[in-house]
Amino acid sequence: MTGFAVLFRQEVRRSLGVWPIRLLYVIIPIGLVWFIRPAFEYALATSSTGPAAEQTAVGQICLWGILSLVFLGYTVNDDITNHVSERLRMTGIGWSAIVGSKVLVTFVGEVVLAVVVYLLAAVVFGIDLLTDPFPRLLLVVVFAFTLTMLGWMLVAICPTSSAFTVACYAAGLLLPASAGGLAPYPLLAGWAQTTGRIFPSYWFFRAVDQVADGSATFGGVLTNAGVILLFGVGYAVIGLLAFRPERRIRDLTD
Amino acid sequence: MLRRSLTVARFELRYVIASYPVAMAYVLVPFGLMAFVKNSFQIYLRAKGLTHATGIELLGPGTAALYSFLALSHLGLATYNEHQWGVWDRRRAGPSSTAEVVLGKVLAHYLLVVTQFVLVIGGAFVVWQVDVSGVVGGLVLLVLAMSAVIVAWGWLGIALVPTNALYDAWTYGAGVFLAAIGGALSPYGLLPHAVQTVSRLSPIYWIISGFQTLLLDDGRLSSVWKPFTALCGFALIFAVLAMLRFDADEPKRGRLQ
Repeated sequence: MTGFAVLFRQEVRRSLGVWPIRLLYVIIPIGLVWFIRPAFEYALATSSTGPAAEQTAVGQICLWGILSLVFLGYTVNDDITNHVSERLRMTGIGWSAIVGSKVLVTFVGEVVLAVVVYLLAAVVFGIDLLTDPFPRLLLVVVFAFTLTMLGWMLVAICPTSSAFTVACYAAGLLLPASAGGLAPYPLLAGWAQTTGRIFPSYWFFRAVDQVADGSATFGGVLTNAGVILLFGVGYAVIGLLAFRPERRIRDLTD
Repeated sequence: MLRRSLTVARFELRYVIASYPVAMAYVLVPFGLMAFVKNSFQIYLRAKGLTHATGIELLGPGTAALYSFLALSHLGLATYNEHQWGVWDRRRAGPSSTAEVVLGKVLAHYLLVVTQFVLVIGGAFVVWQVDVSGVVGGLVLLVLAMSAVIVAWGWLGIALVPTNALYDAWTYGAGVFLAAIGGALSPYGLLPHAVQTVSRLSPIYWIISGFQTLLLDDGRLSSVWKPFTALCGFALIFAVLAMLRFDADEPKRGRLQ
């Protein structure tokens, strides 16, 4: 078994070790979809852009997907502050394997969270996923990638674990709110509808709206999926440029 | 006793102030959230005939309360770190009793939550021009009571939860959940009827209700006694439960153990 596979398996084990919290992060979004959906139905009665339950569900996928990134922050920062990463490096394991295994586990976790919440919301609130499952799956996977890269970028930028946590708390509410995931998009102010475009959540939510109301199929969401992917690549590059683990370790020991 | 607790409180405050960029984020980010969501509350209130409403009358207290729950992560981090570093046990070797240490920590975080509340709500009222003349006394009472609820909830989490990761879920999960059923994310009148019946179990419902009474309804101080009493009741229940459950010798762990 390669070093990366061993690290990956260990990260999966750590991730599953906090299963009660992960379970909570699936159950709470379904409750929130139930609570918030009537506001969406009220708002969309005159200007429908897709079923309210689905719009609410993708908002919650975004919110709880970002909150779940805190586990990435915990594991990277714990390894640095406990000097585990240095000991691993002494055995010849590179930073790419140490951090890459964590990022990969985070991506898998994001996909699982999004798919489970989407499916549960479909069962509970009667969202028709069978008509166009593939564009939705594409959007969910691409969005999960972008959220993972957002987490990676925040890990690289934030100097401490608590700064990372507050960054996730901030982004977790701002990204869905700015694109119509907490309050219905037609009820956002004009300036908010315009500025929402600078967030990947806008492109995710609008594409899902189009699929839900039947105005777009697989080919129709490729542009939005491409834009979401670009955000992800941008976050990844910033993360690569900003990640300075040796400096953090030096700061700890000085 | 109070003197030693104040010393603990001073050090606890110093600990949080040292990470002031994080503390400031809990004050600044709510403005971004309110800016995006405000319009939907305003449209809802105006449809109800409240033509002068800005939406911030309901959204302000709800968002401030939500972010105060999130800011409890300071309390979690400070306390669980002390356990991890072995400081908790060594601190108790000194002349301060456990009760004095706990009181000092609670006092410090109560002060932090009140300050955050005042900055968020006060700032929101200034930015979006909400007229609070004549009702400031009532608003202050509600803020003080709500802050007590939040800190008591935070300490109840410390008493119940063995790890910092679970504690973060306790404060964040509770904050978002109570905000949702209390009418902070979408207006109370638009919640499902079944949820409206349990909204009263959320302290956030009561602070929003109190602010609504003062800012949009009759504006009389005497009419906020009910939400004020309800909030004090929540604070008392959480505090008593925390005191009954808290065990200073119970081991606490970090984030991923």
